[in-house]
Amino acid sequence: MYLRSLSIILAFFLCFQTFAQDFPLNQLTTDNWDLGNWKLAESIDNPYKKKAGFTAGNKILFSNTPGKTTSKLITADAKVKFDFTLGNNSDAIFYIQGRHGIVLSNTRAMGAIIRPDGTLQLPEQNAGKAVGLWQTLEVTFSDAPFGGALIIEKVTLNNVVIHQGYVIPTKTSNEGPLVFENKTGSIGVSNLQYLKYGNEKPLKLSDLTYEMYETYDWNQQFAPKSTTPNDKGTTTTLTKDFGAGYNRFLLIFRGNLDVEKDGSYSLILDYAGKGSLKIDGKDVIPAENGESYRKPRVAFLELTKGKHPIEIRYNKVWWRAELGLFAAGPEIRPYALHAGTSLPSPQAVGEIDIKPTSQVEMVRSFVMFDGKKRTHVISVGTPAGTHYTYDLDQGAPLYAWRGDFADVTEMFHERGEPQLLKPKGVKTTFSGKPTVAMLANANANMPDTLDAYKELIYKGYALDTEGLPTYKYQYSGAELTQKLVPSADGSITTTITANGSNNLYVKLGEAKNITMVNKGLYVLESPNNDSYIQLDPKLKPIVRSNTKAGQEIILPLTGSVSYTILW
Amino acid sequence: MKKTFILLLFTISGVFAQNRPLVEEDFYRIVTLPVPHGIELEVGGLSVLPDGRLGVATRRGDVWLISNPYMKNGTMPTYKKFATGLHEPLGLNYINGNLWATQRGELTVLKDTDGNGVADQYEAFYKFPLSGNYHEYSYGPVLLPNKDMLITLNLGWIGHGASLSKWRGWMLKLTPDGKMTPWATGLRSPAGFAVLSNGDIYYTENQGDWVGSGRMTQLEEGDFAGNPEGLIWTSEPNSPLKLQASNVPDTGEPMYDVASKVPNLKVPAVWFPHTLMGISTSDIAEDLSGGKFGPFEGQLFVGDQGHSKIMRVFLEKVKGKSQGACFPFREGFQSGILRMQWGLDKSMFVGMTSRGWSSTGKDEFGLQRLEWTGKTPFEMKTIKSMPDGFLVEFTQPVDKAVAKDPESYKVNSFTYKYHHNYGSPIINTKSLKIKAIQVAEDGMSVRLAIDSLRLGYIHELRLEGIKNTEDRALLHNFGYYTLNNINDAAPKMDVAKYAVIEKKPADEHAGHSMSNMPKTDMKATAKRINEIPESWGGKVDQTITIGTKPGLKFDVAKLQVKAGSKIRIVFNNNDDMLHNLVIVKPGTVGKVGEAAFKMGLDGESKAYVPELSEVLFHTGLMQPEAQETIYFVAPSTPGDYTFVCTYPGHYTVMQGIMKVVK
Repeated sequence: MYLRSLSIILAFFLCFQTFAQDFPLNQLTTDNWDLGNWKLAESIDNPYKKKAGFTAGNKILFSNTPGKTTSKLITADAKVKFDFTLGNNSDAIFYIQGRHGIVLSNTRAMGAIIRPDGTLQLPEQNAGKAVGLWQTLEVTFSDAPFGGALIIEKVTLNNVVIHQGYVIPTKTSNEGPLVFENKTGSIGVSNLQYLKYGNEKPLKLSDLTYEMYETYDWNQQFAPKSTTPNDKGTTTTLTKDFGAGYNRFLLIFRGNLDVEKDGSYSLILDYAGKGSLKIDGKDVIPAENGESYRKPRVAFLELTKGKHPIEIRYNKVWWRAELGLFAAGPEIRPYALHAGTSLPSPQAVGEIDIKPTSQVEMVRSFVMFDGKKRTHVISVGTPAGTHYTYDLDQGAPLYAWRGDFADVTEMFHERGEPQLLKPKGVKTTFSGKPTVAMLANANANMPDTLDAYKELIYKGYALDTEGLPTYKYQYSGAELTQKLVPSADGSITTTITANGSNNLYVKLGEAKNITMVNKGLYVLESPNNDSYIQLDPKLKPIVRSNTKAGQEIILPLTGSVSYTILW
Repeated sequence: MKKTFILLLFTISGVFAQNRPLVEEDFYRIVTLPVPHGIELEVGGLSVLPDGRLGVATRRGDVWLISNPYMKNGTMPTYKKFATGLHEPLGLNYINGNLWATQRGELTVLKDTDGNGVADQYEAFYKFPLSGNYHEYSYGPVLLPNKDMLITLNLGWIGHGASLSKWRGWMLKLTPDGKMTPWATGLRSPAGFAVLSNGDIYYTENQGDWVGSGRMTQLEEGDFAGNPEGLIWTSEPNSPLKLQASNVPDTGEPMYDVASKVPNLKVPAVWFPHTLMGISTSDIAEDLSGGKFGPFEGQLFVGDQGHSKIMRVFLEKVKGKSQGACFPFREGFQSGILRMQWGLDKSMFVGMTSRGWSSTGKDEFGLQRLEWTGKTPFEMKTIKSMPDGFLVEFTQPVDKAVAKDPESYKVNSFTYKYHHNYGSPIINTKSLKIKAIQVAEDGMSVRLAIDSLRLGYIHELRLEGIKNTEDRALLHNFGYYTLNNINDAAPKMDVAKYAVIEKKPADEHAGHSMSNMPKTDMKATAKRINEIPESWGGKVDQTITIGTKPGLKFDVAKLQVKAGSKIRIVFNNNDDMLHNLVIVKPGTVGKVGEAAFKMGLDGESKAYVPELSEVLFHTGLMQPEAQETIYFVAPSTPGDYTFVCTYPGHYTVMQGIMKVVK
């Protein structure tokens, strides 16, 4: 009984978390903390810098001596997210409810949950980043509704899920502050955000009417066949069922959104087909051009107490009719405003993954990058545990990651309709733009794309004895090769060669800020995507500012160039 | 187990007590290659190597080399992974000492330069764009006699077929130095294609949008095979045709009639009537075995993915154009047949996969070999066009007395609509009268003079009464001849001399079902009520929505209703195939499914719902993305009732349980 109710509760939470991910979190500013022996910093020096220290300020909680800092915020049921950076040989603990610890460390299991007996519940994989880089931890937890336990619903480290549904039995009341404890070394914490959940439901629908119009086949699929509705009436529930019996239809609901008290809220529209939402006559979720399948869309709203006119439009196309509208607030988990039957929960599919246990694995697939599908892509996984994805069309790495290799469920489950491979570990994201380009001079812009059929001609790859590919191209009269060698220490070394052309440049990387830490070591900083580039200290790369991404680091290509990425 | 039992019963009670009836297996034997555990051998491509090995490209992206695939004298095959990481390769060939595989976006040459048995060079021979749609499959290469190669590119699927990137829906020709010429378009799902020994290029097409039924079409340069989506690229400078999609009428007239008005539109040489032959045509294999594969030298074998079977095709040239007949050949393979290749010993390797598209063969994938046992089956060897009808040739002499009896034959003709819809009902069916029968002196052939031949129509010849001189029936007693041209160059038959004696209409039952073909739209009946019954007073106790999922599945496996309650079921066919939904009495799904399967030509017009008391409620036959609502009162007896799609080939897998409770 206990297990059964627990699994139902977990399923419930997991399902809602997927909708909640875009909801803005509250900032927990530094004045919300009892500092103890911690300090407030404006910035922290990279630990690889000689005489690394910090600059005093008000942005970062910083500690380089053992001790604790405690929040004034008390939570029982919350989501907490923060950025942190560790110095060399550093070990710290983040506590929720004042007593349940998660390890932040580069000397022991990063991300482990400390059990009440002091032993560690290890993370599903090591998702920690290199020393000195900013990392992100997100924890969602709640006081178990069945009592006597804390549920750590989900822990995400650097966008990798490392724990889900871990239950810690408790004897005392399950609430308390957030605490950071520095055990050894140094740690900086910034950008701490939270959502503290309650059980209120301050938004509801009232005075609803509906109109249903049959629409045309796919050649003009959103257009109603007639200007008079096939059906209309009043209703107390928001449901797709008013279209039952029609292959394709447009359903329009009008009514009021009753708001109990002034505040920030969100409305989440989830549907299969085409949907839009108006509040107070404004398009808060406008209609998209085409149809989409179950991609929840969110509107963030400031609403005053009282009734607000609402209009929900929904077009069923060739998928089964599915329509849902959720309400949420800063302290309110999303809850349904629709009838339960209107939005079925999709059947989850067991994962198909690829594990490179004894040899290098290669997978050609489609891969999502920056919101678009790249179609000629190879992913290479190594038994060393470091992997990458590479766009063969552009001669450009897309992602590199450590830990588990690839989730290929969307390629090999049934027809594999998305045909997408998903990286599983802690990753760094590259620009996805061509690595090599011919420039008129060192000040000319690097191109965002090259024509994969006229300019950069992909010729294939050769495998070395370990099975690692070297990619071959023809480009502007030059023969190019590019090889990426992942290593067990979690870095990737890229070697590029060229012969037969001049004025070639290699883009080593791009980021919001690129800073030289030491000769031959650069740190590339972008939101959630910090990395290092290491190269021969004798080489003199050019760091150029005012590019679209912020800055880029390039190097003339004569003969061959080699550099290493760490993250 | 059940099959064996039925067979056994039949044997005991059979008329020919001295001999059990002969079955396909007596003539063609299926040998299954064992697949090591852990290998997902979802066959996308097959290639026979001259050194006795067999190359297999899988949908998971691997290329396996199988040593000793012939397993002679009880020996076992061994598997070695030659290449990996390809993007769903659906074609493999061995050309100039190398394996060539067609991935989704690239034709790749796989080279083993260090001779360790594993490819170490993956050369991009020809790369082509993709939009990223899963349905953008790519096939080939097929080698032409002049060393050029052919590849074909499947349309994407966005609720209908669509050419979302360049040359999708086309067959392309590549020279050995990589120069590409677009060859022909109008292709929808061109998984099977081949160049025959006479140099003619054929491809098979699956039923779908603009494709009323499976078919096989000869492709010459600049041909348009029927699906207009690929025409979006005819304005490209190297397109061999200029036809635009707007020039293709969407009227539902038969394709043969439309072809007389639309330049480039090519009619198929052979139609494979949907469900009567197969449901999804695949590879083509020409019998050049010199008799080592049985009596069908020079004929073609065509695979069927959904029905896990192989069909046989006889082609002839009439007035310079190819046309011919298809016959059943061998069924009972383990999974969905995608690839067929001749082994060195002239047996046939058959490569299979059913992931995403279920098949009657229940395995997820498989590799089998089909070999001739040396016995000759009693079959119609050919059907040939004659000025006044057809000539049917047999593999063994017929009993002349029964061959002279018109009751031994039934002849019908019909065709399909040519339109943007998915598939087509059978239309314009006509039962044809046999005017004269001439049995050859040696008993090896029969000339039939037939009334009202129609050009462009499929002519069904059913020879249910024909026996050979040993009193055995034909192994398969029907074939379908696609009559695009009448061979009036052949000598005429003396119709007066061989005329059949007219029967009185009262005796005539040969055309009973055909002459009164029901309308193609099935009307509502007591078992199919689409409006809420007035007596319900507008009140429904329970509304249930059932959809479909790819791979022959309903999206609901189990549902529960209260006995005697008023039920509304909304059935959405959101798959890309035709489906119905039939609710049957507990434990009767096998009987109903088999009866639906046997409905033959009648089936489609009756939505494949057999007239049985076991059938309680049903929808019509639904187009992809169509929806129908039915109303009924749940049975009063509690139990597990089955809801099932009885579309042929579907019922064994596409099922769910409607639990009726008190």
